[in-house]
Amino acid sequence: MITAERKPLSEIKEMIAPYRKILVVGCGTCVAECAAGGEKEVGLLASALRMDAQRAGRDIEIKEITLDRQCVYEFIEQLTEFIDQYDVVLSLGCGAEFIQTQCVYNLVRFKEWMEQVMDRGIQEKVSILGGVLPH
Amino acid sequence: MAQKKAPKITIFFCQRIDADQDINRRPLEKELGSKIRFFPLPCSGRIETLHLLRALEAGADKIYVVTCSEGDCRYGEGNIRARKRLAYAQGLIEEIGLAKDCLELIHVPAGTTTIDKLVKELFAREDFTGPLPPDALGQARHQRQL
Repeated sequence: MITAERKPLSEIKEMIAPYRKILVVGCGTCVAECAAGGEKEVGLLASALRMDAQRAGRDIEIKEITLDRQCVYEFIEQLTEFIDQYDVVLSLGCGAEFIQTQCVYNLVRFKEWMEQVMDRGIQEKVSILGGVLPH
Repeated sequence: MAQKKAPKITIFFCQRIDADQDINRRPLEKELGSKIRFFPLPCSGRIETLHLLRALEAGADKIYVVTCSEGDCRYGEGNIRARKRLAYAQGLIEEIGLAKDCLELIHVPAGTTTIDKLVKELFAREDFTGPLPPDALGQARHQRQL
């Protein structure tokens, strides 16, 4: 199961501060269910950012789009036409904080797998939790 | 040079509070022009947080959401939803530094007033506190007592 929460607006503002043309991309699946990043939340965030920029006297341009799923390549392809016209993409899709593996039965092979993970540096990007099963 | 600017008010209201709202609001709309925008709703539960934000974005200084008293909603809990969505919108606008009293919820028992009377009362209240300068900061807005 995936649950999501939007980052605080102050953090988002800081992240997008250097950019002018912003593409706000929502995802219509898990984060929409959690009221964190669906079409409505994209509209709210874009509206809040526009008003904030207006109050600060900055000129920004925001385009809103919500894909059905951000985790499937075919849907992301919808962005390719215009994505290079924007300075930054603000994604409201889910970002994993950790990955849990399936139940580990064979420690030797798990160790082997972890080595492969570490070769690619994945453990730097996301925490990995080995799955355990009550016996 | 602080120029006095008339406040722009947007009113979202449940049509049930005044059966003749359509007739009653027309003269006011003509008289006040861009200073007032009415949005009649079949039930205040129709309101979305996004409507409130868009209204603010469009230049409204003050937004009222007028609902019937809690427990009196014809559709059960429409006004409770309106209250929750308004509270959510207040949280959002506070994050960008606007005062949350830009958005206000008013309960009006159905059939006790007409929309034009209500609006005159609301305008009298705004006149009393004085319109805000357009560049008033969130804090300054907040200090204002309604």
